[in-house]
Amino acid sequence: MNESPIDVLLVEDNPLDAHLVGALVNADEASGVALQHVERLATALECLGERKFDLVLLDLLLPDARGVEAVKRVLAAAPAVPIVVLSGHADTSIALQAVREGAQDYLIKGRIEREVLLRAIRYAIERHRLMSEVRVLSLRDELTGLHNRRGFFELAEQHLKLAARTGDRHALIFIDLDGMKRINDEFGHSEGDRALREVAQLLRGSFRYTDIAARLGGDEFVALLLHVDDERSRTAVARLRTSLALANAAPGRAYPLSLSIGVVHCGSGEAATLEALLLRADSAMYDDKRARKAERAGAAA
Amino acid sequence: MMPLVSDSAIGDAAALARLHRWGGPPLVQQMARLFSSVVPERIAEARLALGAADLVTVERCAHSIHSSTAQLGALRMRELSFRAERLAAAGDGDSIPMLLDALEREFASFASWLEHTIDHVPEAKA
Repeated sequence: MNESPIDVLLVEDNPLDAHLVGALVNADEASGVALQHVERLATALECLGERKFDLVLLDLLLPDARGVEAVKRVLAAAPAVPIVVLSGHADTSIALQAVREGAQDYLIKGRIEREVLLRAIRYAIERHRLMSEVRVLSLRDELTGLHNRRGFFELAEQHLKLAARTGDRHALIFIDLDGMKRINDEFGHSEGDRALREVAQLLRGSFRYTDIAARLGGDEFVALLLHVDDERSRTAVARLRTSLALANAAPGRAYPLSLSIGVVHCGSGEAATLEALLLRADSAMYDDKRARKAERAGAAA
Repeated sequence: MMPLVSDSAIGDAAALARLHRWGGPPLVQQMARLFSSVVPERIAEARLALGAADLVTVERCAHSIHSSTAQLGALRMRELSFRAERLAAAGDGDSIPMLLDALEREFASFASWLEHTIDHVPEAKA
């Protein structure tokens, strides 16, 4: 077996503890662990910014950080890297607190056996990977593969908070699939699901990968277009309308898809809540729905 | 006057045996050398920090000594450093100079114990 080594960053200012951990993982090549040692948290954060590590072994009393604060700072700098805490005492309260804050495990110094250390490293990496997968799944809409409501709120709120400080302009687009009930009634729920997936595909194709598109539930979709002015958001909506028209023009289509779309802008330092923006976008979407309905009625007359 | 440290043994040969099992005589020797250089440095750093009323650094130094003593099995030093760490963490620096003095005395005793014991580390048990 020729697996790549597990890259571990050891953050430990006590030379004896650091030497011992090194001796334990390097006792033979079979450990599969490549260790890099630093003594200060600031150096560790630099290392984490420069290259990828599979795990951080973190002492909780460093010259420049102590206790749970050290865990929080590592998590902020490298949320994708699991942490195993090294605690100096049999008193596990701080270590447990570190685990509650996001560390995967803790080891008590002076009681670390080689097998325990290696197992803790491997289990922490595997557990973290599984937790990340579960987290991704919990934020994703199973039917369409877009973000779900929770995923959208989590990401969008971060961007709105940042925009309130930086003045970045974003556009919030509310999209409703018209006639969803009729599709379900006339063609069955599996066709309804297919229509929802098709809308999701249209959103993916019309907006950038970095924009946040989500299905809020039922036939309601939303997208936060990041760093766009009014003109660029209009262009994005026009692209969506064009994609929709092309999809509807496909031969053999049983029914046309119809979307009502509402757009609002946020940013320029204004502090609007996501809920308030969604209400405004929803209202704009209904304006669009009514206007197009009136247009169709006018054309029919 | 209460003794500063309990009447425990100076050193725990089982700790050395554990190091022996993990890395043989080289690891025991390396750890002993590190102990001999690091602990006096940390005691000196703690004294300086205490003079500057910097109990955070005193706590960190005592923590480091405590951790080192656990690795080498320096039982009395471990007890003293643990107390110093706790006092520093609680913001109580009054008794720490006495503990640092006691740590220095115990360091000398432990160094002597280590010198006699290191070549006769008991057979390690897996």
